[in-house]
Amino acid sequence: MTLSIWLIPRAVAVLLLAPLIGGLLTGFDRIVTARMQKRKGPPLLQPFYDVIKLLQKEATTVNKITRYFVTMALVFSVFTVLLFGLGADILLSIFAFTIACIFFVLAGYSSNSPYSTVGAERELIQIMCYEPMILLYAFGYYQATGTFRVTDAFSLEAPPILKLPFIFIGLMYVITVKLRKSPFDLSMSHHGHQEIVKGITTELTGICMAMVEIIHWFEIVFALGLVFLMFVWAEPLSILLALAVCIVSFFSEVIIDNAFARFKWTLALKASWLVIAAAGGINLLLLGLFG
Amino acid sequence: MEILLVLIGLPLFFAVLVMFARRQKTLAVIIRLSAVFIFAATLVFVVLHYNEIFIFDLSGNAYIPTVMLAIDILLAGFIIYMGIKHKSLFVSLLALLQIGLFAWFELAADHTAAQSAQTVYADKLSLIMIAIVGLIGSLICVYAVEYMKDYHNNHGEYKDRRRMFFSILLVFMSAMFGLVVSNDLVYLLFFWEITTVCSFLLIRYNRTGEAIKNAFLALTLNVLGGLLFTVGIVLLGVYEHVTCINGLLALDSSVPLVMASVFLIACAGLSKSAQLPFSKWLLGAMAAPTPTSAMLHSSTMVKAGVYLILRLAPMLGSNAAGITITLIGGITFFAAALLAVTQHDAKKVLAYSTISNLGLIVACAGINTSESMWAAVMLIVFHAIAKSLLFLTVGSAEHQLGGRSIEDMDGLYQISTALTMMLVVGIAGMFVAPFGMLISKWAAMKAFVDSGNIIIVMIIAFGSTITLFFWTKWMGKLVANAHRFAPTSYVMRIDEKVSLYLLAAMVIIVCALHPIISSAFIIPFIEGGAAGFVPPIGMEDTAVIIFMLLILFLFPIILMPIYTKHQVKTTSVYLSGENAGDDVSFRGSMGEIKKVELRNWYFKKLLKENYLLTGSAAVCAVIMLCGFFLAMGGLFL
Repeated sequence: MTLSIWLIPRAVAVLLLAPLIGGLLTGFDRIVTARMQKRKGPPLLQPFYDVIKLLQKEATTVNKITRYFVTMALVFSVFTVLLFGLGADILLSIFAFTIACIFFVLAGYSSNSPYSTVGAERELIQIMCYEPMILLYAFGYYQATGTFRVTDAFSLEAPPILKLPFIFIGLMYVITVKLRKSPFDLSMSHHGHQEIVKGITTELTGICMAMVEIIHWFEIVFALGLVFLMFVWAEPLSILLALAVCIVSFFSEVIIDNAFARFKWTLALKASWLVIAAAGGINLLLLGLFG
Repeated sequence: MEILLVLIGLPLFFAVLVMFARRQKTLAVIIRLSAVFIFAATLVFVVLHYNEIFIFDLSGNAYIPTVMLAIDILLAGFIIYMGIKHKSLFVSLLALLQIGLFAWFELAADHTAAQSAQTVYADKLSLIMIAIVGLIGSLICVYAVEYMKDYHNNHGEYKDRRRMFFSILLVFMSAMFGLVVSNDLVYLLFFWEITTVCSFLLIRYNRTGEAIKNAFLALTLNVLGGLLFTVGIVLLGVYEHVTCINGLLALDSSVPLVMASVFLIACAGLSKSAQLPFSKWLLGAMAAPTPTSAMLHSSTMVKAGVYLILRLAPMLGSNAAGITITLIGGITFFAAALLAVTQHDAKKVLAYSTISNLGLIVACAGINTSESMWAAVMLIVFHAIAKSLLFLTVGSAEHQLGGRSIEDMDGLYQISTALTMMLVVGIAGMFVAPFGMLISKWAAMKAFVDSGNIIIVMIIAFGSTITLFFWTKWMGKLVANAHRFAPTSYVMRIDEKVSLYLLAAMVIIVCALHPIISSAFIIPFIEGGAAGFVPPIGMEDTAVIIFMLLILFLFPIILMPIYTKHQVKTTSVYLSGENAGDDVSFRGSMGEIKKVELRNWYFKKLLKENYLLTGSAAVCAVIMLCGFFLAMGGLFL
């Protein structure tokens, strides 16, 4: 990320493309899910229609501060994807992403409503489930490639996946947690069968709910961005390969979402940490031994 | 030299003066004056000695060692007496052993060649420590004026010993100044012992059974550390004829005896900075009034421990002693973070978080690369600021809430927005980007990955996440706008205001200015060992960090007029349609009105505090013993 005149058009491109991709993938998710349940499902652009409709609705709130937190969560989600898209440090993007997640959790707590507080607490558990893996991903990427920077991804000699197969498995595992796909849809579910109503988003309406939807699009883009980095190297065509892998991974997340029942939080936490410790530990050990 | 004497002498002078203050008003004036003077003297010292390494030779002086030995004997006598009086003979025995060994070393053992020409040696690291002790310490003293008044109003049962309390706080600061400029280990040990006794006196302040018990725990573990320290010095002095740190660092690190002494002295550092297995004393220390905790946790005591380990760091690294210290630091970082999750008591969460963060500093020192040393010094600076702010704010909140359980803090917003904001700033300063602790932790992460030590890399990945968990759930309680308390007319007093606002501003400003601190102090300190060092956080990343700070503070301000203009309808929270008039009560299944109770998660079933603490302490004790034998060259293997 060097300061140049190209920075602005690139930033604009990232800001336009990211929600577009995120929204389209969400629409794709809903169609696949519907087909798995033998329904026809909504049109591909439905998520955009939903957001437009939410923006037009009269908003209500339970107190004055909740919407600040939701707005800040959106701001930092956008900022994360911007940093990542412009080629900044992976760890720094992860930290920015963490701020967004914390603001979202605080939004849940700040409503002081039982359902959204339980949702916020569970969201924190979910962060505990995926955060170590995302950090280990960055550490592994650095050990394998010698750089933390997204910019350098396109000048690598080989795709990092060759050296990070286990970390990739771990990453796929925690993306399920991050995207709140079943069995890890503890804090809120996209499907209408959550035992805590709409979890962390119970008290959000209108524009706040629209912001949450958009945050989710950026979350998807960031998560798939991490997958993308695993498969690109100096070969220009590798971008196509990486994009294909991203789509396959997202598809498999949707399948998993529909094939599992929700875990209890203790099981979710223990299972995630076991997978992370095994996948991360073994991969880093192998990297250390064989470089 | 004069200015150094002023720096050490000023707190001592005021400490004596305080004892003569008959009326509370006089006492308050003296404390405020002392704080202003110490604050100013600290700044003057740092500015005046910025351009040079301040070295002073006291080796020809025969009086100072005699006086120090006399005071040491007095201190030891006091400890022995206290031990006998309170039937804690073990601590008397330790103190007796230590002073016997030390007196023999000073009077009878042959170490004439051991005197060093660099008795006093203040480089950039010393300057940073002086700034932390002087600036933060004096703010804590100012805060304590009002706090102690409230404390005695609330606790009529305790005898008012405020004069002694302030006097000891000042002596403590004086000893810390001496400690961080001493290069001769005998001098360093002298100040070290003073801080041990001061912390004992501060912890037992209210003389309840609990306070005395905890004070003795602190005393025992620290005297044990002091004994290890003495043994280390005696070994070095008698066999290597070296007693100063710079001389020690020039020794051959492959000699088992040298490494054994380095390891012993580092263990003294571990005990002072409450690392496992010595952690328990710092938890007990919270029985004391809050300013004491703020002092012990942020600017003095525990920082002396990590300071000493940082000084020894060039002897550590990838040898047995280095790996052991790194492991102990790492395990402490992880275990203390887990333990913090289980606590309701705000001060206990802060205590575990201190232990955890110091573990990270110790691990950085153990690794001993330029990057990790940079991270360690940054951690010391940022931790001192944020932790003192947190302790002092919790102290004020405790007086308002009538307790310090985090569960009650959802009512704090109604009592004081300012206090809530300070707590949020302090907590954010401890773990989240773009604040200081995260910047330092980021550097530590890079250093750990570069070191190739996989265990420590795994530990920091999991440990940081747990840290995030317990801080965020606390923050969640603070922003949960409960309606439990009616608004009160709480106004912050001037002393509280000055210290809290200054500290909160420091959390933010020092974070924005960290590149200056890095290039002005930390890089020169590190370059003493490695020229051409590039800090782990580059300019471009720093720019992004400052940009994030701007977003964080400007955005809500930009949003405020927009959101004030576009008011939306306020509704009640969702309680399955059974709301009973307000947001906090509902109709139960039998039609009765029930209150909503929202509680946080503490993992009490999953994590048992006692087992976890004892277990991790046992693991660290075993690692420490193994490390000692390995450092000695595998004597028993």
